[in-house]
Amino acid sequence: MTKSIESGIPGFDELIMSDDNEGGITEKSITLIYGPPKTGKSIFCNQFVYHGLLNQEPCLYVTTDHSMKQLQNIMMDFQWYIQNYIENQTLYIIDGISHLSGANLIETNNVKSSSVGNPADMMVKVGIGSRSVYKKSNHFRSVLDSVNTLLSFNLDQMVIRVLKAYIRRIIEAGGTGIIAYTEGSTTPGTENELKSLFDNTIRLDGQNIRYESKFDDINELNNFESAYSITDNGIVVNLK
Amino acid sequence: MKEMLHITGIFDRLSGGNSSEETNQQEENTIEDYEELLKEYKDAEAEIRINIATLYFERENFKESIKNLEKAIEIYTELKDLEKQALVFDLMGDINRFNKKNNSALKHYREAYRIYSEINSDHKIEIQEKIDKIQVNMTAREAETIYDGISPKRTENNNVSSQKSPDYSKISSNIEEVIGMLKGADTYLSYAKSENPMEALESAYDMSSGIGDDAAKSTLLMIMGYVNLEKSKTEDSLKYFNEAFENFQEIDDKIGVAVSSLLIGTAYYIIGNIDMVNSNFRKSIAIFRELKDVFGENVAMRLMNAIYEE
Repeated sequence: MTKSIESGIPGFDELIMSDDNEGGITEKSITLIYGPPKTGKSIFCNQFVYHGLLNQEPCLYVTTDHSMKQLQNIMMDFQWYIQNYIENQTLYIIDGISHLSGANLIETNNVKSSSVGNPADMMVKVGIGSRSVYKKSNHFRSVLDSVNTLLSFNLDQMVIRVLKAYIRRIIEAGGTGIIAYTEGSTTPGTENELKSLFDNTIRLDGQNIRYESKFDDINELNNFESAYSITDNGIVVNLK
Repeated sequence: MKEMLHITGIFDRLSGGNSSEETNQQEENTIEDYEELLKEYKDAEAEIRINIATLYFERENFKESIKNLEKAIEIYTELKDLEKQALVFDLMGDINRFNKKNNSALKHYREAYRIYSEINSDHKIEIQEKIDKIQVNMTAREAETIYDGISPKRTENNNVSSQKSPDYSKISSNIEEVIGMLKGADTYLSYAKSENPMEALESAYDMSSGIGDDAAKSTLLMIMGYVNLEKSKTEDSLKYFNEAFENFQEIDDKIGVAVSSLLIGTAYYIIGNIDMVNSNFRKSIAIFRELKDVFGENVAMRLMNAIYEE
């Protein structure tokens, strides 16, 4: 039975529960969440992070689509308040976009500025960040939202290598993570290569959520699918 | 001149010419033909606006130059010619950058980038490089004051192979400005301020090697050279600069080659080998000129002036 952690998304853990999976996001693995734009990928990531924070689990968040301030505001729309977790250093944020937009981000022990255009710097900071959250707990959550911005600023193959390094780093430190990606942001070849890096994937298409896992048997995928909706409280999977 | 000939061609067509063949041609003109002609006319007007803008730019009347380019944009917008709109935004970015209006330059480059991305043009890569350069430079300038404070203490370090030049502090800020032209330099320069700069830089170098970020790898070598230069380890710094130079050549990064040549020249200046100073500086300036990189050339000239004024 694969060990899992609660996703925090009502209905999701039950949906993917099976003889092999006790329900939830597979522990010490990185899951790819993908789908068309505006289907709730970031909401899923944020809900996953916030659920961890509520349970005192440290989280490492690499934000490349939104600045830290924007991230706080977006989460606030769902009544997920993260300021306290930033202050008590349960949440470690690497902001990869503020610098590019010219905003002045004040760095602290757990808030670091990087740039999507400098992936080596970002990965150095992921290394420091993962060590920092690991010191708090050998079980932590991580989110990278999203790959798209990295692809906009770097060569596809470099981004693939960055993701490999990221996955390795997080898993080695005992983290459980999610990486978000918007379908069609790169060539079909790169997209396939990207998906192949992950044992578990979640696809959101605006109506249905589909979970695929090749963790136990690479020849036979475990598939789970159900409708979902985005509510004021986040994503809810509507079990059949 | 080319544009003028183009316009003349349009006038010829409008006049219908004198030959009977041309007159017959005109009789057959449809509304579509005239609309097409009108488009050509507007296109020519936009090109003239660009020529006027160029002349104003050469006279350093940036305001009028931008004004004419804005008019060209209006025309290209009306003609729905996205590529030319992007081209003009790029020119406006260049003018603002030259005029040290970095924020305006960024705004125009970003607009050009957005349009080139929309039409999937390879030019977006060039624009991205320009955006990166400006951002790097803006941050490097912010960092200048911090570095100015560090440099005087370095004279105490005597356990090194080469001579510490008292002139070094005078060119320190110029060196940073030069390195600031490299991709990612703003970020990686901050490593030089950490408690153990070489350790931090080496760690980032290993990471950049691991992910195949060759440009970052070379930039990091340059900064390691810079840190060594500050510590009066001129021979060591020269090794880093030379390695970066070779890497930049390998990845065909011309700005990188120009920048590393400049700093190789600078290291030779501290060592006292004037022949090598001159040849490396000449190499660097030739590259900036070949690239028509006025900004880069100016930065290089400032460093060279600071050195030659000594």
